[in-house]
Amino acid sequence: MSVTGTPDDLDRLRLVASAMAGRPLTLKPAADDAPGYTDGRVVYLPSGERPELLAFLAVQGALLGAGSLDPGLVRRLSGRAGVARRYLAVEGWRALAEMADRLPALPLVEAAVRMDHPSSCPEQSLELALGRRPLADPPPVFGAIRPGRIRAAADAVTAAAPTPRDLAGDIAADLLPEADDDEAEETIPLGSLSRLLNGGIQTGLSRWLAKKFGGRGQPEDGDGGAELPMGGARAVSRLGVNTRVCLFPLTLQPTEIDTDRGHGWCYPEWDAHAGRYRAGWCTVTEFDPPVTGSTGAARPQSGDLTRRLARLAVALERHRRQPQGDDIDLDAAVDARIVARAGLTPPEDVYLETQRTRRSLSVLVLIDVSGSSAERSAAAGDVLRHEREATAVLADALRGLGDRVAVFGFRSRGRHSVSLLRVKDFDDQLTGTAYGRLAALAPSGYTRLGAAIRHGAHILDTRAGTERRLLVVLSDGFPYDDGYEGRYAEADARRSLAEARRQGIGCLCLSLGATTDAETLGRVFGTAAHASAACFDDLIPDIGPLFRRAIASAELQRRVAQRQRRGAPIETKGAA
Amino acid sequence: MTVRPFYLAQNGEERIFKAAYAQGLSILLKGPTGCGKTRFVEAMAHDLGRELITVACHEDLTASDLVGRFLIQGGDTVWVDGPLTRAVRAGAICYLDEVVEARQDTTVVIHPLSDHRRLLPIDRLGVTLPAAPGFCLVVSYNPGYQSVLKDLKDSTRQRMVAIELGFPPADIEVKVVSEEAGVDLGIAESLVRLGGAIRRLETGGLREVASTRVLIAAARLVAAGVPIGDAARAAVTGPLTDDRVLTDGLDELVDTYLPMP
Repeated sequence: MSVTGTPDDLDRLRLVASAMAGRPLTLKPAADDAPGYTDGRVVYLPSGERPELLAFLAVQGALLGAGSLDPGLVRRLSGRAGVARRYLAVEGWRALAEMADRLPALPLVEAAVRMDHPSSCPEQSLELALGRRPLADPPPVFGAIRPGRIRAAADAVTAAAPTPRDLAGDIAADLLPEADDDEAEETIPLGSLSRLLNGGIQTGLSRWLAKKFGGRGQPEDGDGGAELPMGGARAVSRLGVNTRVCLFPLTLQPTEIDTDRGHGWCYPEWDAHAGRYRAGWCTVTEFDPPVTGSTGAARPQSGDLTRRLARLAVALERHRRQPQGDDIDLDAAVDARIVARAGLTPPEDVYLETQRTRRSLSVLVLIDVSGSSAERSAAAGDVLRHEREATAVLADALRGLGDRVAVFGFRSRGRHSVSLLRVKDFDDQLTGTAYGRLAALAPSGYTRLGAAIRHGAHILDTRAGTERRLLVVLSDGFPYDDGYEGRYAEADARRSLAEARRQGIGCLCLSLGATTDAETLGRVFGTAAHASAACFDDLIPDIGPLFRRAIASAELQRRVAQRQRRGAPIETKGAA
Repeated sequence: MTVRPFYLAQNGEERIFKAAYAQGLSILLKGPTGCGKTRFVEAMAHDLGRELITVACHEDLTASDLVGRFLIQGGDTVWVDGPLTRAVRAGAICYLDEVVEARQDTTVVIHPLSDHRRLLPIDRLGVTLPAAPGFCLVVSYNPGYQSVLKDLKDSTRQRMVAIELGFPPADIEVKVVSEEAGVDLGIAESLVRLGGAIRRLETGGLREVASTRVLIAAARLVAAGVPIGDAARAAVTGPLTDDRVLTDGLDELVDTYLPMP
């Protein structure tokens, strides 16, 4: 088989490459006639016949598996092509022999096993390569080592993860180099200005500024995000009178892509001014935040909350006159005897059955860790502290009740850089690590609320696995990011919540200790259940009804959406 | 049962099982599907000379399914023992397979049995059965199971001696595959190498990896005359996924890792 580098061929070899290297790899074709290489995440495959390609993948996979391409190690090869080549000659064979157990039985691998190796570890190979001893050239199928690419890829991953600077909230004047692909933002200098003035953290002043003037820069004049207005008008003119405009994207599924920040999800964003979605507008990536807080943090006390949330559980239901069950239904048994005595065939449904009682609820808590959460709250401490405490108590209570819980922090720095910080995924244990990560969340960045909510809904959709799903958003209710403010941002956040509910995901938005007024919260959260309070303790008495309302409204929305898809009339009676 | 079911110890698990049995402790087996949990219990029951009563747990399993219930026959009620009660009376080993699948209120009935009391209260009969000598409770579960399962209750776990089983090391797995399927060591080794490659794939899309059980199934197809590549496709990669792209990738893996005929 000759591999031509078509996507199909690359897909077919992807698993082989990943299995050899012991880590997930992507394949891309190398530039014409250039030797193949890997940067640690992507393998650039030369063109060639299958046996040569397998040999090439085996060498590069073995190098990755044996740790020969660790960024710290290859740093010493940077800018020294000759040394890199000598290193490949020694280390390539050695890695093949070391990794022979996990490689297929290729002639090259067998040759490597039979060979004597002058070195026994990558460090020793590196010393040899740096020395003057003559070494045989590596065979052409080995491809090449490109230290610069490996380090660049590693740096991209580290850069994408929150840096200590991020965590300290220090992103002063860190303007995003996005203007070239988003000229709309050039016309809104106020956002940039207020960021410069305030060091990226939204204060009461910046909010006031944004509220007061932010709307003006936004596209009444049609430039702020009105993507292709002419095309839009043409499209509408072609529609028939009875055509219903599809207000929701046909598919809410994000497209998955590999970005330089790792694996990412692309989501559309609602453009309220143009009345349409901007496809693939925001890129969301997930990270594990570092654990810098105390992992032995005290377990929260959630007794009262647990009692309130426990009432959400379905009560035990006994079903009478069942054909099988745990116990005999005495009335039914007596009736059956009477029927039998009367000479008729007695019914067999004489048992009591207790139906399933298990809860089937997953809850995803999204915490706003943008710069604005550093604000002093109305009560003592900053907003984020209240959010953290509320999350810890909620997660503990729900876990204790047997619900599935996940906790993610979110922040953004422009539409290509929406980060979800994985404090606890659904399958992680709620242990010291999760509490430590939670404690270590520090405010920085901005709030692209819509993208975060869409990704939260996607996580619930794909990883929760239960029938009932609930998204709890802890935020000050003030969406703000580069090119994302004012009415535009509020409409997008509201839209994203509506989308989630159409997927059958309940949404509950809690705003703790923030100074945002009720009217703004109403605009951002729309008809989703929301509440605000100075601290979480004040909300506890209402938490049961809030949860119930969020779940019930999602259930209703889901049914309505289903009916609409089927084209059946919507029945409102008893739907609530 | 006269022949000992074939089981090769990985790492002292037999000694711990037998010691726990001798002390009347209950045993919790943890491990991925197809790694040999059930076979291990069968081998131990054979070694200890006890009857083995296995219950496959599912989410609608109720306490009365384990303990027993009254049935109506004609005009009378008849008590029928459940599998757990039978094991308690007979002093057998009762094996609850995939115990997390059962409802939590169900697992609670094993509590008095699995601690020092070794009693089974049957409230419908108004009796409390002491476990006959030789009774042992063994439960298993798969911690990495990708479904929405609840964890075992802490109070249940605390009553158990845990034995963790994984896929055996390559050399042992080769022997197991070769012995179980009756194929030579070379074929077994190729299949185990393929299994290892699949287990290293962390790529999303595969819910489970290639277990020892599917490797044995492939080897048995080979023993029945199927070419090794076809056998691996049918028994190892086929059951793993229905996704077209993944299947292509796995096929490529099979072609790469298995010697061409």
